[in-house]
Amino acid sequence: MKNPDLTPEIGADLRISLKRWLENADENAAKTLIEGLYPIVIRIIHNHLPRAIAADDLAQDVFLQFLRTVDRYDDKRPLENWISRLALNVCLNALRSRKRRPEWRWSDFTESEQAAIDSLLDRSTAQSAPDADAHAILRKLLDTLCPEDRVVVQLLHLEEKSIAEVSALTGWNSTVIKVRAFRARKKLRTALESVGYSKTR
Amino acid sequence: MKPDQDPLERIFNSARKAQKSDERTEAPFMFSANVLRVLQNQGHCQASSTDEDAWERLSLAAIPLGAFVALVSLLLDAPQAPLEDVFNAPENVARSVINETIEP
Repeated sequence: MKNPDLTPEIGADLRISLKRWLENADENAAKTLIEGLYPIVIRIIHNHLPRAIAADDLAQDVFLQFLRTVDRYDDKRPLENWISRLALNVCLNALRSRKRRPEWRWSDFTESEQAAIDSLLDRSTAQSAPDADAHAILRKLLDTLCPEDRVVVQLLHLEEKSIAEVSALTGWNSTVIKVRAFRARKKLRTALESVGYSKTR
Repeated sequence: MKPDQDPLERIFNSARKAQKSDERTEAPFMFSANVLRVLQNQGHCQASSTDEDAWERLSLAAIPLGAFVALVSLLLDAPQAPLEDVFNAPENVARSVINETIEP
């Protein structure tokens, strides 16, 4: 299977910087690399960020690992794919290190979010929830999933990546991704309905 | 939006619109706990009280990107060097930042 490009091709200047870093450990080249790759890394971190973990802390972990291991990078593949996979793995490890996952109840949501949940669960209306509220609710619900399920939902349903792209980022095969996505959606739906149910209890 | 749409599809649709790409902040960052742990694991933290003080100051310092890169570069060159050697390495941005931090 062809390895799909996960992000648009970055400039040739970063490839030159990479060469300078690998050959001479040129610190200016490393700085250029980090600045050039930062938008890719921080976007991934913000999308997968475990709550209460600072994005810049995870970004440093990504770039520390990047500078320590980039000599193993295969330059026939896009550098963007390599750093994206590295960033996602750092996020997955941060998610795995959490001691427990929360169980949300009605009172854990703001009034605005509670109204949004009512709208979302009311199948008789075409009215949806405000985008910001829906996003906040979904972030809370994603916290209830195991790290791998959460990553699959984020990549497939929020970033709208293809199965092939998710496979390239995670290293999981397409069957695993499909099964994981199916189960994760079921858990999310149950979690959303449980929050609505907890309103009356 | 059609009535009777799956609540989960509704929430995905709305959340996608709200999801924004994040821009880099220009504020200098502080060394993360994990980065400091890596430095310690590589043998850069000795047991002396001077080093403990240096580590405390280092962990609280605001670090520009250039200093982060320079320090990582030094550590890659000398993974087992004591912290003192890192501080006393040839002139570079990490040294100046760290020295300003630990020698006020």
